[in-house]
Amino acid sequence: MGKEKSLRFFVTFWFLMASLIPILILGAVSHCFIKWQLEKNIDKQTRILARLVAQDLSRLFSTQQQLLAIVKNDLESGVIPAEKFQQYISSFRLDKTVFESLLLLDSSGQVKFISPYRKEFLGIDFCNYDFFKKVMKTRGSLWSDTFVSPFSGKTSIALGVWSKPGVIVGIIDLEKLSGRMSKFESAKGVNIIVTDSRGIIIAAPDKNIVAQRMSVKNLPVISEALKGNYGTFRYSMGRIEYIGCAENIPEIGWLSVVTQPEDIAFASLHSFNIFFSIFLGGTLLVIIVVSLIAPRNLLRLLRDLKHQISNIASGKYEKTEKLMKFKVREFNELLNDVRHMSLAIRDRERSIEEAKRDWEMTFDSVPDLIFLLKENGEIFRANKASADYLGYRVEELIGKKCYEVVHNTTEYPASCPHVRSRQSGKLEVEEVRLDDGRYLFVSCSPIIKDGKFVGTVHVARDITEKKKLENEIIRSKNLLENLFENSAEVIAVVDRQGRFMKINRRTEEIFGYSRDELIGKKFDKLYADKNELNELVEMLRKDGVVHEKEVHMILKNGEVVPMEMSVSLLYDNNGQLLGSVAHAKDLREKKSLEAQLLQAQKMEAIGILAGGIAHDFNNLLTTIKGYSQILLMDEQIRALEGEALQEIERSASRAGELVSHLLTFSRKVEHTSKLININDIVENVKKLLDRSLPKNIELEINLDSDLATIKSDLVQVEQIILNLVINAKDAMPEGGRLEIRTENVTLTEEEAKRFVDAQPGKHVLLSVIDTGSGIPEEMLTKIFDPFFTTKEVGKGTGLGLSIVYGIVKSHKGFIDVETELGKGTRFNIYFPAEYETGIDSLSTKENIKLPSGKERIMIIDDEESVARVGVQILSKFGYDVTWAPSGEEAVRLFQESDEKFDLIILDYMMPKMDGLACMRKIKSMDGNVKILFATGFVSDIPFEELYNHGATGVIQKPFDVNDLLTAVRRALDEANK
Amino acid sequence: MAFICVRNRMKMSKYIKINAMLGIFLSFLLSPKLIYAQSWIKLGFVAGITGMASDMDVNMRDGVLYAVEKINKFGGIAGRNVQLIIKDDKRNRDVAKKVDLELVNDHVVAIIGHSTSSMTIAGKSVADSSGKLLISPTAASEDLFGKKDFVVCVNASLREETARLAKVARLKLHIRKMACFYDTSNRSYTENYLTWFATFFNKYGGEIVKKVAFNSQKMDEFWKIVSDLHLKGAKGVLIVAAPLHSAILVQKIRNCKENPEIFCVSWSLTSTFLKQGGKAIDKVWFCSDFNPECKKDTYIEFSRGYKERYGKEPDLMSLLGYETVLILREAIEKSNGNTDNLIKYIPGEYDGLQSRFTIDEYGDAHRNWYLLRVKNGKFVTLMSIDN
Repeated sequence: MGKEKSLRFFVTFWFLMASLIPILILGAVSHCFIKWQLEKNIDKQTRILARLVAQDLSRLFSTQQQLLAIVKNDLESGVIPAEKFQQYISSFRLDKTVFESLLLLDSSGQVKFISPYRKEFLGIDFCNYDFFKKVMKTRGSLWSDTFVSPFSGKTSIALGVWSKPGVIVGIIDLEKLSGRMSKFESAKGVNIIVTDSRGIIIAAPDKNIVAQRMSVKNLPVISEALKGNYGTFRYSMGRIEYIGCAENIPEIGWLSVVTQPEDIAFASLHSFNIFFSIFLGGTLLVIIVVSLIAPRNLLRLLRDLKHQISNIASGKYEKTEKLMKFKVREFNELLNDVRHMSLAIRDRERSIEEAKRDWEMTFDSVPDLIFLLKENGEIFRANKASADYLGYRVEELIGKKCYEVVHNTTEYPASCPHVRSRQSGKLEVEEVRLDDGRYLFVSCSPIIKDGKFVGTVHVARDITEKKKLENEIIRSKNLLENLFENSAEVIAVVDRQGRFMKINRRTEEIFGYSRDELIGKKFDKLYADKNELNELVEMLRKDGVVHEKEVHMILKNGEVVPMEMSVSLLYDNNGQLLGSVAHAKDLREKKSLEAQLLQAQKMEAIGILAGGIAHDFNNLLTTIKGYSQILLMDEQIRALEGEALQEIERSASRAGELVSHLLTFSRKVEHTSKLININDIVENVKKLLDRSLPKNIELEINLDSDLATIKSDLVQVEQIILNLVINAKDAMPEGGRLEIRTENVTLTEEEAKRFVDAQPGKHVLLSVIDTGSGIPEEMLTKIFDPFFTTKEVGKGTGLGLSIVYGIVKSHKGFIDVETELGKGTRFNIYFPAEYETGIDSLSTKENIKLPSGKERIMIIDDEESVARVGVQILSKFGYDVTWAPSGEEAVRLFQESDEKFDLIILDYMMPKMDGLACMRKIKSMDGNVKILFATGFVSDIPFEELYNHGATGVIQKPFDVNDLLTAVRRALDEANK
Repeated sequence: MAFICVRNRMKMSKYIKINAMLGIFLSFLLSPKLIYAQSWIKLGFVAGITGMASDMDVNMRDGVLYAVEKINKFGGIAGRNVQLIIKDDKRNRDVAKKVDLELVNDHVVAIIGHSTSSMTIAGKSVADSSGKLLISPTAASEDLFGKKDFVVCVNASLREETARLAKVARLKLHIRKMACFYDTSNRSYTENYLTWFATFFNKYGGEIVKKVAFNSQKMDEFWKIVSDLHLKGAKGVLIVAAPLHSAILVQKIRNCKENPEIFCVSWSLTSTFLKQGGKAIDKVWFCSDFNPECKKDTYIEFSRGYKERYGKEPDLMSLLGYETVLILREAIEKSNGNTDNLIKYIPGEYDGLQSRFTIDEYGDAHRNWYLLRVKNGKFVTLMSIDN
């Protein structure tokens, strides 16, 4: 919309327009008409003038040509003899012609005769002039281009006429031609020029122009005329506009051109323009004055009308009754109508005001939040409830965007009902959560005006409390659902008819049925024992609840499983029985663990028993072995009873091995540990087996190339494999397949729970699998018992699997046996995987040649036979040996002895004062004395503690001569170092 | 108060607007050419375009005019059309000064002219006093060279021409004795030319045995001289004159018993000379910075356009006239419209129509030189010559 202007401006402006436009149109039409007339006249006049000039020159040139034709005739007719030619030419009155000079050129172009005569002019060569060449060629007559006459030095043209004696040439000074132009001088500014066929000016009233030989070929009037287009043209030369016309001079191809500057030619039009401009200015002034005075009365009426309408606008209806009177009737009628209109407006306004008040009261009384929104979401009306709820005043809400006050954002929230309503044109609802946690239920109804969406009625209700309740219910429901679904126990809800209503995931996992298979089905088909079912139903009926009753259920695969069942009845809010809910616990794992625990306890007891027997056996064997070796040292005895004594020693050694096996089973044998890869051992065993296994047994080795290491004694693991392989071989007398397999396994918590001694984590699994006869179930609990064997007497000791068991236990591993009668057995040995490095290597047995000495040694051992063997051996090899039968006696002897003891050999296990207490005592008396412990239970000895208290070393019983002497010598030498 | 002031200002500006609109309206109605006139660049041209020796000047003017028409056809110089104001100095020193002054008062940006060295020296005083650039396409007198003034010579110095011509005459053609004819109407050039030629010719062991002066403005006197020629045994004749007079002299000299070699100067190197010299002009020698047989594209295009425009072949004068306007165009463009001190934008190297040339800090041109001879009525280039 443009800038506001006053009525006076419009009246004056349109008045001016109405007056000026016709004048301007008239002026323009007059201008065009005058110009058209002038152009017509100028064209006519210039054409006539150009034609006159052309005709004049045409006549002149014809005359000159005729003159030269006479000369030619005279020369060729022979009337004039050749020697009289000069005289003949000189006789011409050139001043009566336009020729400046007349000459005869010979055929080579040189001046032969000339008038007026000058000797020096003779011989001047014209052979290079174009007109001469053409005349000679055509034998006709021709006008030359302009040139500077060699005789006069003036700009000239020449007419050449061929004749037998030569070319007759008449040279015309162009100034003479220009002189003829002066008679055509007409109106002021009119220029008359003559150009040659190249557009060069050759004649003009101003002789200077001719002398300059100016080429005006570039002017349109000339260039067009040279092309044969004659007529009037307008063109500019420099800054001046010209109008010009050209006519042809046919005899010589020249042009007569008449030109006139446009401002001179159109001078009358220019005068008209000035006159019209002055007239226009005057008219403009008059119109302005008139347009200012004329509309005064109308403006007064409008001012009054404006005043009255202002009164109406400001509600001063009474003042409209006092109206002014005009002389114009229509004005008075108009003012009267305005008065009536104002009273009608007043009445209507009052009734609208009342209706508005009622509506606003209702609007503000509604407890819901109501906004009236524009299309762009701007609030243009809001009730009191909305202002109170949102913490604004009603006026503050007006003009704000709905999302600014409700959501405190700068744009619409996602799924805004106002936006949706704008798009759909329908009622849209949405639950909205405010930043402070309150909830609103919002509905937006579109406001349609003239079929177009203009906004919405936005009604919101606080539903915070309702929403909280709903959320609480949902949360509780979800919790219950989770508890039910994720319970580790079987939970099932059964209706009054005994049909499953709901079961949890554990039920599906244990029973193997899907929900679809169980929901709606009777529960009693899952009970293996109907008596148990009846008993349970009876208990429920009687007590309303059943606690942890063991029952047997049938799984989908037909397996009967013991379960611990608890059942309680379910009632609705009205106390009506709905059904029951049952909890069941799978007892299979529990039962299995109980069995394993029993086995472990049994094995532990057997181990302790075997260990105790072995201790005593060791002492006895030490004595037997020792004395045998002492006797064999005597040359005479050896000669008489050598074989018998060696047999005794061998038997004692075998018995020692037997004891060693027992100790292994009871885990009381020492083993040295380092990181080993079982695959290496299997590869070694394979070499042995390849040679020793019967041909009908196929050996298959499957090793995991990335197998983890274990911390173990290489020999012991080798023994495990050999013992298992021997058993497998014996189980396949008819042949079969034997597989040794290694692999890495990771036991989860769940898997570890299946075995008594198992810990979750990474393990190395060694499996020995055969396709033999298998192990009957009743024997499975006994296979690890010492001396249990199914082999014939003399074919097995019954210690093979016991040793395996002992070794595995000492490695903190465990064994799993899978067997099926007639199909085979699989022993799975699990070792904890280890990844440490740098474990000490096994010490190699040194080959010492029975060392001897003279030091003083005390042997403290409660077992006299063992002590005596020691005394005898050491005495035989030069030592001074004293025996003490107990710790107390040893302390006493040590105190009383005048001579110092170099070494004490001390039994670790003694009644009353044990080895450790005895050592402390002796050390307190002599801190430098060396102490060598002797024991049959190396694994039970707290080495760290012993060494911390000053022990020098340990020797294992039963020892032989070599072992004892070597250990004693090393202890003494070590001490000396 | 402030509000009232604003209103008053608004009213005032409204009246100013109305008045301005009315003024523009009336200006268009009454005098539309006032604004139009602002866009023209005025160039002055002065030469002796009338009279007996005007051929050379007319050709020079035609070259200048052709260049101006071409520039205007392609949009002018920096968007402004060029207006060429042509004056005639009538080969008169007083007239030359007078018309130069008229052009200065007409506020031309530069004066192209004059054609002869004498007239240029006359105009130099006006140029130096007014600070207006006077650029002569053809003047070659040594009097104009090597000076810090407001005169620029587009043609090379006559000293360079005489040095080469003397060398050819003496050392190539073995001429020992020379006769000279010269036009005193362009005394500054002709006498200067003769002096330098004699200097070089003597240096090479030659001798000027005769000097004949004439005034080309007086034809009777000229004809008397040519009617009785005595060469005093000279085997070579040097004519330092305008084309018409050289052509007539050549015709007359050919009749002399000595049958000398004839040498003309660049001034005569025009179509007028060829037309008016007849058969006698064959074998006449020239040494010039104009190569009539040039095959360079720019020259061929210029030659074709010039011939179409004027119906005649271009010569040295028209070429120099044309190149002078191109030099001025470049200088005006460099000046960014500030044409008061145009001369400082002139020095530099230019790609001429025929070859590259330079204008040094003194406003003096240095060009390539050629040895020419007339053969079968045409100028033929024999070779390019260095000093």
